[in-house]
Amino acid sequence: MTKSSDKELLRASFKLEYPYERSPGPVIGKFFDELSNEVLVGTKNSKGEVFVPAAEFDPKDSEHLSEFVEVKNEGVVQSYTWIEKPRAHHLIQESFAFALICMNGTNSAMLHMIANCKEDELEIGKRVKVVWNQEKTSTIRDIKYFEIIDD
Amino acid sequence: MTEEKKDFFVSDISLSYQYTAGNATTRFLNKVAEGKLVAQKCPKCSAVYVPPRGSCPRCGIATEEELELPDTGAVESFTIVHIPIPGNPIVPPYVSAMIRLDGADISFLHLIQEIDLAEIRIGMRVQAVWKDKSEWGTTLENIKWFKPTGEDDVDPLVFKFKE
Repeated sequence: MTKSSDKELLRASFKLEYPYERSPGPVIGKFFDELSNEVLVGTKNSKGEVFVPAAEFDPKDSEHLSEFVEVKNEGVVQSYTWIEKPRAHHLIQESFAFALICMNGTNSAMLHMIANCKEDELEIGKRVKVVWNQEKTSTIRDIKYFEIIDD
Repeated sequence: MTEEKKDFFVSDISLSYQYTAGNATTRFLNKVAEGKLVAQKCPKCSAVYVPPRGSCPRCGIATEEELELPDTGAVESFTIVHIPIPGNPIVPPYVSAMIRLDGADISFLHLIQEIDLAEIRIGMRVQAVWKDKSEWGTTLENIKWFKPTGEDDVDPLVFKFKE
C-alpha cells in the first residue's frame, strides 16, 4: 500500500456555528438598553453594594436585586491579559488588553477591553474610562473599549 | 431612556477551523471521487471498516488491506427528521440512517430518499443514488442519498458485530 505523504492529505475549511437567540432578561436587558444612551447602570443590594454590569441576584447571598443605580463611566483595572497579536475574530485589530474593570463606586468587576495604550503603560490599579461606539446596538459592544485616563 | 425593550438578540458564536482528513480518509475519499467505496480490513479479526480510519479499534492495530465494497446495503438504524435545522438545505421530513454496506462490519450515516416514510424499517435493503459523474469530488456527497431496492429485508441479526 502506498502511503500518502503529508502534502497529499485532503484538507478542507470548516465553520462551526451556533446561531441562537438570547434573552437578557429584565435586569441585564436594562443594562444593555442604557448602554445605548451612553449610561452605565448597576444594581444595588440591601447593604448598599453596587454591581456593574447589573446583576439580577447578589453573587454572595442570592438576594434578588431590582434597585438600579447609575454609575460614572470610569473605573480601575483589577486584572488584565495583554493581546499582542489579535486574531481575525477580535474586535480590535491592534494590540489591546482584555481586562476586569471595577467601575467607580461598585463592588464588582466587568470584563471588557482596554485599547489605545502600550503594554508597559498598563498596570493593575490604572484608572480607565469608557470610549463609546458611535453606532449603538444595545449590546456590550456599545462600549467600544476602555482607555487609560491621563492623570 | 429608550422605551423599546430588547427582548432577544442573536448571539453569533462560531469557530473556523481547518480539517485534515488523515491518510485513511484521504485514500477513501480519493476513491469516492472515482465512484468507488473502498474499505479496509483488519489483518487480525477480519472486520471490514468503511469509511476506514486506518486502524481496527477492537484490535488496536493498523489496517492496510483494502477492498472495494458494492454501493448496496441495509438500514441498520434510522431517524425521521421533522424539525428544520437552520442552514440545512434538506427540507423535512427526511430520513437520516445508519447504512451498513454489504460486506462491511460498521455503518455510516447517510440520507434515504425516494421512500414512503411509513415504509422505512431496520433491515430494509438500499442502494446508493449517485450524482452525475461530472459533479463528483472527494466527498461522500457524491452519493445524493440511498433509496430502497425492493429486495427482501435482511435479518437484523446480521448487524451484530462479528466475534
